[in-house]
Amino acid sequence: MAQEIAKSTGCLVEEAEQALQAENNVVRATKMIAYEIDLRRKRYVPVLSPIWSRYAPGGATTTDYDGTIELVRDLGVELDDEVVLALAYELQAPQLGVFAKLPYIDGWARWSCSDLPAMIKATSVMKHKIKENRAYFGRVYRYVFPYIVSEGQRMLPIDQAVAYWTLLLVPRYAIAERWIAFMTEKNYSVSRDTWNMALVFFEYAQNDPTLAEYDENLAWPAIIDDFVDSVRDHPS
Amino acid sequence: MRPTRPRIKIRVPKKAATLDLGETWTDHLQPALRHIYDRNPYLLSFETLNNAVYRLVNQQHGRALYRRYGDDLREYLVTSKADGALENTSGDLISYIARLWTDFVFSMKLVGDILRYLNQSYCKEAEVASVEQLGEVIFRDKILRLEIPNQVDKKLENVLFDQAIAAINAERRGGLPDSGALKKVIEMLLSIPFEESGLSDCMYVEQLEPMIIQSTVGFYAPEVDKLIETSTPPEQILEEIDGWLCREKSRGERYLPRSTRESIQSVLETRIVADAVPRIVTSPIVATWMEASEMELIKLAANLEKTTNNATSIIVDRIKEWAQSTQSAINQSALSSYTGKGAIPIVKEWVDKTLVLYNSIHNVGEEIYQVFEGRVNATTTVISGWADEFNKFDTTAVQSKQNITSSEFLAQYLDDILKKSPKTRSEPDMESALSNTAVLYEALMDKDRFNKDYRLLLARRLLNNRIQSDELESVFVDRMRRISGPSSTANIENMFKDMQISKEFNQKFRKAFSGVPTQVNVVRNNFWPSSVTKEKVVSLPPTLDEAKHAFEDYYLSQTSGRKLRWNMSFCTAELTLRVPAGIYSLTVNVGPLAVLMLFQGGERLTIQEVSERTHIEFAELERIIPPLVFAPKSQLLRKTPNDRKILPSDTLFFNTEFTSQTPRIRIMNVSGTSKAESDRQRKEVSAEVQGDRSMAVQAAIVRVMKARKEMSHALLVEQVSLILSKQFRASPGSIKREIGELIDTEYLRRSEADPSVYIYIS
Repeated sequence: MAQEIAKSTGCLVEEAEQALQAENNVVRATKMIAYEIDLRRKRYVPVLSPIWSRYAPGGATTTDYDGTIELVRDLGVELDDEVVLALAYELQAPQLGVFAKLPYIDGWARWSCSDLPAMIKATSVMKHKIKENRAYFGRVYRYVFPYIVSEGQRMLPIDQAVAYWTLLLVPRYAIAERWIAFMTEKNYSVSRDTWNMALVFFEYAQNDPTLAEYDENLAWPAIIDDFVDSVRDHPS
Repeated sequence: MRPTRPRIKIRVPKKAATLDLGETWTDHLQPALRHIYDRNPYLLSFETLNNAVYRLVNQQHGRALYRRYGDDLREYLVTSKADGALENTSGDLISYIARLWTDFVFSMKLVGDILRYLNQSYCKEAEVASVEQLGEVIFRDKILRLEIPNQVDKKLENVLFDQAIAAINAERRGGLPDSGALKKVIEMLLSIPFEESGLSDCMYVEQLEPMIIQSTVGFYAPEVDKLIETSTPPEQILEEIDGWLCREKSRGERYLPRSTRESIQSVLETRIVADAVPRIVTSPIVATWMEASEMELIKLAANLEKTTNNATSIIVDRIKEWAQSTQSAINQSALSSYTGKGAIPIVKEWVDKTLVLYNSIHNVGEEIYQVFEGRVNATTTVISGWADEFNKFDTTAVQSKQNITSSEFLAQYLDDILKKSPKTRSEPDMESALSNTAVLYEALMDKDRFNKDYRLLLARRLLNNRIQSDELESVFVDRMRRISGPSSTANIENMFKDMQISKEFNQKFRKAFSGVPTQVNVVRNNFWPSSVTKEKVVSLPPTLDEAKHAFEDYYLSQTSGRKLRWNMSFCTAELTLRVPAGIYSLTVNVGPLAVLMLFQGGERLTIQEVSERTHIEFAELERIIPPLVFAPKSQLLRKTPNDRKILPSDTLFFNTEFTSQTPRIRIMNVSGTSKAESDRQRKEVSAEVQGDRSMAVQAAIVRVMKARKEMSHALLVEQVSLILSKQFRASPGSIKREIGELIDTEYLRRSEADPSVYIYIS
């Protein structure tokens, strides 16, 4: 339900969830969010449009390659920093390497940023948040799959998946490297379910590093069952 | 004067003379009691004594009198009886105590009469034991619990108990103890409390009974050991134990209380029988019994085991193990002698032996079920254990590198029966053979695979005119339908229907077409095996080609929206052959037909040329040509060079000297029976089965989820395997993979709140 609201209004799923909890009625929640967004846009579109036009000249509504690079650089972060993915999430970037105008404005409006210094400050808050807040990290992680997958595709090629896992998971989870090696060897493409459940599994493995308690009768994807089998067969 | 009235003198009633307690006791009561104890007659009347007791009690001497009575009895027993009792500890103490007790009980009755008022008044008010009860307690303490001199912690009662146990055991060995005395002693122990406290039971229950029950185990356990160690035949041991159970029942009746008898029986059952049965009914013994159909012995063992009241039966387990190892041996022997070709005798042996095994364990299961009165579900346990092993055939085959499955064996077996002419076997006989085989179908896990294998052979029977009897064909199909439901046999029924429709259609076609008489079977793509419905074109001789086109035109004009594809590999033709030796009728497949037709005018052609003209590949000609050149009965062609090899450069020409003893000649095509061919076919079937299963699992998941909208993983897996269990066993892993597939294709999604819950996306 929350996802549908997010889709129709352009808000974040979390916002929709909050609204649903507050209103307990889909129609009213949708109306409330639409109203808020409308208010924000009235205020922020005039302020942020000039900044946007620096990255998308000629009235374009999406950024091109150069514009994206500049947008990120202006915020004082490197392109290969994981905070870029948080930015993509916050600004609801439609696809890899592209920002769109309206979600860009909505995003900064949510953070109440009306100029570049405020944006830089907000970015450093995001950087801190993605490091410290597991739930926030999970939201960004789940956002990454639709963000990086090619348009019209259901599966993510393994090398691309590995690149992002290396960036996001290796610093956080001990078992991640083993997982990446396994997936690389099998050369499986990665479905969205596998992507999402991998994180759930890593969280689980934090509490059961030897995977002794892992139960394949539970709802884990089959691919994770196979991984656990291989770890059990060849404990490192 | 008035007469004086007589004067009435009113006197104060004279106060009853008080009785002196000490005087009355020593003068009257004590001597009287002593006489009673000694069983001597005494002169004083009960009335006088009673009166004295009455008066003493009324003078508040009850308590003192009660105490004097007790003290006196104690003193009496210690001085007059204890020595005698002790002397008898080395002899027959039971008889001695029995006599002593009989006298004592009698005395107590008299004492009770004398001291009746003490009982009625003082004992009740003061809430103390009656004089008789006090007497029993004193008897216990002063006689039964006498310390035996020079023996630490040994009392007279211990000797008594030991002797009682010894007497019971002696009887178990066949002796004849004094059961009257024993009975008396047990009565005594039953009436004397173990302790004064109101909570304790009698001496018997507290002391002797547990010892008797213990002694039962102590007696019989070594007996069992002895029987087993001396390698007594198991049937004899079982009968022996059965005898013990009977005798213990009757022994008890004479002197043991009912509760003890029940305890002995139950301890015999739960300890002795439960321990002995698994030791006697060992796996090899069960195997011997099963092989010799020793039903009575198995029932005897089951009857004994039934008494132990266990929820599971060791006999049933051992029969199950035996069934499994026997089935395993049957599988092994079939697989080790299987070579791929001419396997029918092996198939028959495998099925026949399996059926014999099935019937024997089924019967035993039913018998045991009867014995256990339904408490142990023997048949189900045994049959399902056996079925596991039966279904291991396929994995064993893979291990022994044999490319064969049980479903194929079963289908071949049925094919063999159904192809036999009814002349060789009587119809009812075949009918029962067919319906017996249905139990194996029922046990078969991969029913979907069997369905494919069965249809492949059925297709051959139908298309090669090998159906002997429609009734017999339907016997097994009916059983299949009953076991797996109508959907399992729909394909098969449609195959028969296609044949029927084809027959009718051909009759119409023959009226419309005047060329070579033909019969074309039109079969529908989705009901027949893919090996039948795949296209296979061979260039035909002109007369047949004409007939083919005529049929095609006629068929398409009579139907709409149909498309015909020809599979000529099932095609046969009848030829008339005129050679100098005579006229023969030939039945040939389309391949040899096309080859033979090339040689009508005495041509000499290389095999290469034959291949070019018939559009038959060389690989296939390698199979078509040998029967025409080498088979003694059908040497229609000659070959140069005249050797056993087939090379593209070899030249063929017609054998004008052909002769045969029979006017009808059938030329069999070797195709379809070669190992490579059947392996390929098997692989195809396996791939189809896998594909069908994946579809079936997905369909089942969607069906469940559509109805339930939201469901947990565990429940979904359970439901899906239940739905599919009639067709095949869907492993949780395979169901999981299909769930993953459905998530990826967005039929399902995981709940955000709980990733182990799936939600149906409508």
